[in-house]
Amino acid sequence: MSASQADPVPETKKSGSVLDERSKFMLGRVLTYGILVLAVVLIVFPMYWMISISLKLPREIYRTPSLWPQVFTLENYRILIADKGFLRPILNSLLVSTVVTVISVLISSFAAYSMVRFRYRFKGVIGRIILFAYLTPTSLLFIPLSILMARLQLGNSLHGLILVYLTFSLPLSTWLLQGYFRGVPRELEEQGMIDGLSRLGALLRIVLPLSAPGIAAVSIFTFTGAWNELLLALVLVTSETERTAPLALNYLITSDVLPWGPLMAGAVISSVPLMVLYFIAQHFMVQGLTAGSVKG
Amino acid sequence: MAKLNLNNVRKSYGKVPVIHGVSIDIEDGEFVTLVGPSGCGKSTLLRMIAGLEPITGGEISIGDRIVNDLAPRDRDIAMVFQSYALYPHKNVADNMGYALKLAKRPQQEIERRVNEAAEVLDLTPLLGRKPAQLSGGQRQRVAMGRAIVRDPKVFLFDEPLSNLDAKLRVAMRAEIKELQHRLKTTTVYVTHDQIEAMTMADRIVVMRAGIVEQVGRPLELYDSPSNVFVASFMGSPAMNLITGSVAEEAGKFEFVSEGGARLPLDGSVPAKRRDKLVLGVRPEHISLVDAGTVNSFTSKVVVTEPTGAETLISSRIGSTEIVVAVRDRFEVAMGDEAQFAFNFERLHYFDAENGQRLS
Repeated sequence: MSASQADPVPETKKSGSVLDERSKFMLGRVLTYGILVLAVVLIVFPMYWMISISLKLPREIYRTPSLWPQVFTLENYRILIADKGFLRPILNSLLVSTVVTVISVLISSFAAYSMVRFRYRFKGVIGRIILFAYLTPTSLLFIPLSILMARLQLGNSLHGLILVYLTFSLPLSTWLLQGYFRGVPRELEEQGMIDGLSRLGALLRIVLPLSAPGIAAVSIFTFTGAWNELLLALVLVTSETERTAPLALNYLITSDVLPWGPLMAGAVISSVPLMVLYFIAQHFMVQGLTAGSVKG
Repeated sequence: MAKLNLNNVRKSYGKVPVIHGVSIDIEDGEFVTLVGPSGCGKSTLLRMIAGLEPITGGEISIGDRIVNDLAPRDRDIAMVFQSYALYPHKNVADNMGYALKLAKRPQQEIERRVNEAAEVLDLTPLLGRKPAQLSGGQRQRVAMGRAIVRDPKVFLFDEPLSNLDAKLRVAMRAEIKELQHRLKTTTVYVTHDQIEAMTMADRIVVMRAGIVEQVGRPLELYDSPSNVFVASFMGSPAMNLITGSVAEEAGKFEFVSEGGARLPLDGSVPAKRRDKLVLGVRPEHISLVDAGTVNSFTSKVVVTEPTGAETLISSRIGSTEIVVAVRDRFEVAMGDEAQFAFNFERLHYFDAENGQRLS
């Protein structure tokens, strides 16, 4: 300390540019916030537009596009729920997405754990096949899958839909979780086993809690995927009672008539569960949970 | 507390054998270190004792119970990992009490035992903290505390001090030794640091490439290593090993090194393998003497390294570089000639072919 005090303090150079340090700092701030605001507007405006249309009367929607509804109405929601019975598809979607997510997380946890921790023959090949399955485009598979489901007597049912969604969600979930499991030091599990856990216990009580961000990410991904899926549902489900939300919204459109009000009301209702899920999962996605466990 | 017996224990990964039949009998309350260079199989052996690696052949028993097929949790052992392996989502107290909690001990007992262990290791003020909020040394103590809370039959340590800085390592070394002495729990301690092994152990097992090279008390290993590997591994700076032959002329013996240097010896030279053997002499068993002393030899000083307590002098005998450690302060310049003499009682002879001790 004393040595540095003895040194002559280097004089701060006056910069030759027009802007002094403070103005540069302010300009940087303005630019940063400017770009952030732009990004927020890009993302939020379509949502605002969706909500505002859902609250407008038809004449207002089709005639004068205004930013703010002149007359607020819940008529679109009434038509959607009472006349079109939109609650049923929402419940169907909730059921399908939740079941797919839960099963997906369960199975892929075990699969990923096995890929990360055990040694066995053809492990590498199995890993590659899993990724390959994910890379196959849906549009290539929907016809074989619909034939398969029909043969299995699972056509036109939510069970069939769940099974089909699982075939798409499992490979990705397994792949994602592998990465998170790899991040949990092996010694922690071994310590757990010495402390009195079985291997399954170590997976459930040590690996999974420490991979919470991974589980949250996988859940969100799977749930969103199943919730938004339209193509497979369109092919596999025909009866009105088994429709999922995207499918029901799709059926609101008759030939070239687009009932924008009820459509947007449906979109708003469909967005709510996802928003709630993201809000909850965000809490678990805090990184750095394993910090301090082992010295790197 | 219990005996620990390894009987012809073997391990292979696929077709590759890594442990070739190790047999060690560890007494109740004994502190044994497994020491050897990286990849010698010492950690694998420890993990086999813990039950973390399956055993390919042989028998491991703790107490009088064969534990080959028991899960780690059924072996009644505690292990301290090199990385400490503290549960990051639990605080210090929960980390230490987790094994007792899983064993469904009453909450009161868990608290009492955790507090006792914390007292012993000065961890009491840290009980509420998470591992991330601790320093390296503190984490190490928590890992130790977690082991002693359980009062297991055997402690297993896997290089527990290698992540600490030098000063802390020396302090913890003494502390672990003292703790083990007090608790009298059978301990197996793996390290690659021969000083750690020497200072802490009741007995040392020196391993190389999956084979036990020698088992013995620390000074036994130091004073009479059974082969060239143990001789060069134990001790720092390492033992000087000079290959050559023995010449006898009128009852006087001389060692002729490979480079042609001639060194006077006494009559304690072993009778066999005189044509090709390895002479071993520790740096502290060579001394600087005055010119003209009987049984001395002259050699050029290559480098001197004063460490304060002693001075290390590197010199050249034939084609071999040797190190001499002297306690007194000698002003010898690099490049000077100096006069050296062996302490004849402390010479070691090894077979140059198979490296085994001759005398």
